Amino acid sequence: MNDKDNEEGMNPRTASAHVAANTRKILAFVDGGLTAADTSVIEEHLRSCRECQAFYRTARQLTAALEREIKRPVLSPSFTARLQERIEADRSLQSQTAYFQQKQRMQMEFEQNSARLRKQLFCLPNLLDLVSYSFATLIACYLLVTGFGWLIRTVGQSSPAEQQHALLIFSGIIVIAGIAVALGLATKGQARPSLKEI
Amino acid sequence: MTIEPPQPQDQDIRQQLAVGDYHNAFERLLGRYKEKVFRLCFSMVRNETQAEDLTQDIFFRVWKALSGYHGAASPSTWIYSIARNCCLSYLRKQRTRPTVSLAEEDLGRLEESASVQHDALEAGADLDIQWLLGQLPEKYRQVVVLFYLEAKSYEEVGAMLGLPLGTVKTFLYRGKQELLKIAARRPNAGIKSTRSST
Repeated sequence: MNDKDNEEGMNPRTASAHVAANTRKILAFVDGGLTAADTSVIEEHLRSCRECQAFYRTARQLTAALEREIKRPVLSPSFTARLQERIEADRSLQSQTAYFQQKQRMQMEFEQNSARLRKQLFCLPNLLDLVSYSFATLIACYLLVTGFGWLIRTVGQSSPAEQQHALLIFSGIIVIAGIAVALGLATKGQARPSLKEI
Repeated sequence: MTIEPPQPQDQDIRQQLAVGDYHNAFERLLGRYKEKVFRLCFSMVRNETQAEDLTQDIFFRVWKALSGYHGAASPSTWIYSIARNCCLSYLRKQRTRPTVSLAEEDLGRLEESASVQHDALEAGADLDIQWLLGQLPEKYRQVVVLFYLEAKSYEEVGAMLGLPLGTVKTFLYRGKQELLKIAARRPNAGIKSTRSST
């Protein structure tokens, strides 16, 4: 900024370049965007430079028009209520969706597990296992009942020494039957997986 | 790099989010930022109804994304970036109104023609600001509009648009320069009424 030039008067070309050089500062000055030091410099310059004064007036006019015309828009009063409604609707939709998804998942898991269980129970090796176990149990029951009947009969007909002998034999049969059942159960436990494993 | 104004008041929201108190944190965010987000949307889409609808969408998204917020950026930066993305995708979908864009060399010439731009304005013309703003490139218009909506705060405009302070000042200067140029180039279109000069 050369105040001496302005006092003496500039040709239009020089004046144009001079104002162009100060445009940014003048526009910022109008918006109050200059530092205190720059503000005092530009104020001092504007007092003496007619070209810059003219641009300053234009800049002020533009700024005043912008301040006047750019009005703050206002949100409608129902804004927050509408937003809350939308969020609530989404929440209930989400919870419904979550409920149906969980129900569907449980149904699917149940069907899958039932199918696996049926397959496990009725496949050939497990079926044979089941038959042999049942057969062993039947034999054990038969021995038990027969032995008990024989014991009743013998006790009713014989002497005390013979009674002791019959009791001993019957105890032996019980022990053998128990061992057979235990063995059958042990074999069964190894062959078939537990329900938890399924 | 974006300059972010310090916002100690958001510390309470961060604390609420850290302990999972999403409902109250959202209430505070809504109260604190709904107007600002609305003005940001308005500066980008230039339509109050659309801006309000977008603000609804933005806060709905904020609500849904709140549990995923880990505090890397401040809540205001986070919300403003969601808002900008929403507005930009809306504008991409619209693309009905072409904007006047200036090449860099045109912007360079603006400064040279500064001294003649104010002739029409000096004659005492009322500028049709809405029409003039419609002629501005989008990036300048957003800054100019938001600057006057946000009480001439460069920092606030920078935070809302995600721009550095220097860029805000440059865009504002160039925007106003261009407004003057358009008004001078097409005085009848940019002026509401002309008073007789003495």
